[in-house]
Amino acid sequence: MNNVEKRIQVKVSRFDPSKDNKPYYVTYEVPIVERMTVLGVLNYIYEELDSSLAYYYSCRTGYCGGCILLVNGKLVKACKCLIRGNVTVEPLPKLKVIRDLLTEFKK
Amino acid sequence: MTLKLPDLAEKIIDTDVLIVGSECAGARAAIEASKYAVKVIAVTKGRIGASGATVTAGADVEIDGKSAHDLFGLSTDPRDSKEALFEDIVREGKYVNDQRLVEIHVHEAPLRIKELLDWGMKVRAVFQNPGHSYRRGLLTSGSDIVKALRNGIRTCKDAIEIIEDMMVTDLLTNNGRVVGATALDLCTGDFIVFRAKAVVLATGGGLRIFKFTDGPDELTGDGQAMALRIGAEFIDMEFVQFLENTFLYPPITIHPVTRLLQRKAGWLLNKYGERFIEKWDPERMEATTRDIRSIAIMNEILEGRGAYLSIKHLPDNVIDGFFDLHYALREADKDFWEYLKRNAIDVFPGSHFFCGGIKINEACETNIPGLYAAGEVTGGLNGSNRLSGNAIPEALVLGARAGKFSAKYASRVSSSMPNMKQVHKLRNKVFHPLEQNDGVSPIKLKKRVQEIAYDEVGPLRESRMLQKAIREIEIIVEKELPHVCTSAKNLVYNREWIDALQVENMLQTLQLIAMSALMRTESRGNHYRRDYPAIDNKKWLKNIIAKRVEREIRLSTRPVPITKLRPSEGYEQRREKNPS
Repeated sequence: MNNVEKRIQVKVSRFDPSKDNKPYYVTYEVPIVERMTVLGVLNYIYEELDSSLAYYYSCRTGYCGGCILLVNGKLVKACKCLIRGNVTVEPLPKLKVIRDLLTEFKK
Repeated sequence: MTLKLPDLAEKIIDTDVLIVGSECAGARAAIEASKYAVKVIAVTKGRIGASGATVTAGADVEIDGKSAHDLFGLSTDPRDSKEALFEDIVREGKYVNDQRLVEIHVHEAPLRIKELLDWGMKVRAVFQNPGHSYRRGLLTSGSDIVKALRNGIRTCKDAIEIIEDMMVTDLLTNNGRVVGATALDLCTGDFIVFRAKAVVLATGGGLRIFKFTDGPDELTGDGQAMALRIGAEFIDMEFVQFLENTFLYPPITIHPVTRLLQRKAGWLLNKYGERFIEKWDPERMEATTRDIRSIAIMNEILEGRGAYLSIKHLPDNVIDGFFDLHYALREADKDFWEYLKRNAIDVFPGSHFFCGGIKINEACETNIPGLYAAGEVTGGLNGSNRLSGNAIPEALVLGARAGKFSAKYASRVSSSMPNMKQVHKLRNKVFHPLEQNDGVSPIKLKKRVQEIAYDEVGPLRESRMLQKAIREIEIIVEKELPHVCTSAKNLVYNREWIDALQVENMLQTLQLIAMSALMRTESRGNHYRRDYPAIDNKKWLKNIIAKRVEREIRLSTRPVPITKLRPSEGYEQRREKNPS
């Protein structure tokens, strides 16, 4: 354990349809711990860096599918996706974005 | 100035039955209510099928083996009976169950499971679980259950309206009866008033009040707190079940490891490498019961020795065998098993189930006319410890009942206008954290509450810790809660705003748990008091009833309603010793 603190760049798609014309990216620097997931990184951003970030999750265990996002261009469950370096996080494609990473729910 | 509803709410929605919660209990309540030609709306703070505890269920579903054998042709034990299941539930609940509810449960559970099978749930295996006298466990999955429920909802066509991403914030009353609810539309920031003839709470346990839990993030005791605020009665809130299978390893919870412990394959170690379970149960070691495992682990953590799970002593190919053996493991969990080959992992008892909750009768009525409750938000059925595999059948049985009786009630009564002053006050409360410019961070406060809950009102308790927690909660409620302020001011899906609203519910529900836990000066089921380590049937074959009067929580006791089964003589000597 006792790792030297490692930091990564997390590029997050932000978009507020009520005032932005199109999505833009904000890059956050996040210290990572061993075995950290993409959801862990989003929670770190929400709790420590920018509490205005909108995203959804529920079970944190890979069951509910509520946190499926586009990570480095691939569809993944954020709670199951281990961090292996810098990442880009975007909302699910082809769905209406409510705000930031939160899209309308696909039934 | 006269207050008018359209000035107080961005939207007013009328319905006969309003159901809060969309998963197992809520969905089943909605399906049942819709059969009575009433308007039914189910509201969820999350998203249907992607929120609540149901989808995370293991999922072991238990009904009596004879019914499962005769009705579904499964290989359960046909010598089993409803009476035997009744006895197991009451025995594992340590005799403080409301036996009237257990009676209903064992009779109706087979019908409710049959519906799920009709709606597409699959049984993958049949097995016998600890605590059960017969082979009656049906192995399915949480996602199967939520899919089946969604199919069930589809059979009702347009009779049920489901609203997602909406947090119900308070219940509205008029002349002592429930007449609706207030809510926040999380995706617009609109304040909503529901006018409803009956409200069913199906919001689940408050698992996330505790720092460690295997439950989903949104279970913050909202239903309990809303009911408390309008004077509903609670039963045995001290009984919170903790399971030892919570890790710091993302994704935080891996269920199958419990089985490694049950089979003595996994070792529990402290930081000195000692298998500390030996002090608690030298014969069964790690295969002891899950309540003892939780207490033993918590004891090591509180004593500063830490607790770890290790399977490193096993050959790699045996570990690979476990991976293959333990059914529904998804590909992503391979990382976890590879990691376990090399490392011990920190292990914590996490909150798993609320056995206590809102007090209901057989019709799922609370003491407040028009207010019904079903599923984990209620108490009584499971006594002090829930038998494995009972959660889903309980939610279905009570859900169907709450749906039926609330719909019948709604057909009988006329709708009533909410009290405008009350609506006004509740609206102000919702917007308050957003309108403040400076104050207490809801994110930080939530974390502190979770720590108090876990460290002082968690798997291991004693008078000193509980009193400290109660004092801390009182101070927070008085000095900090009124000053909760979000730094983000977005109206659309503002997580901080949601946390600000949740933290009040967490504090109030925790207060109920802590006060009930302090009152019960014995250890029973999921409630372990280090200062009273034995079960005490002479003094405590009782239920603790709690309710709020004015701004105070009042506690009282009642003898357990026993219809059939009493503890046998000498039962009290059963409790294990306290090694420390």
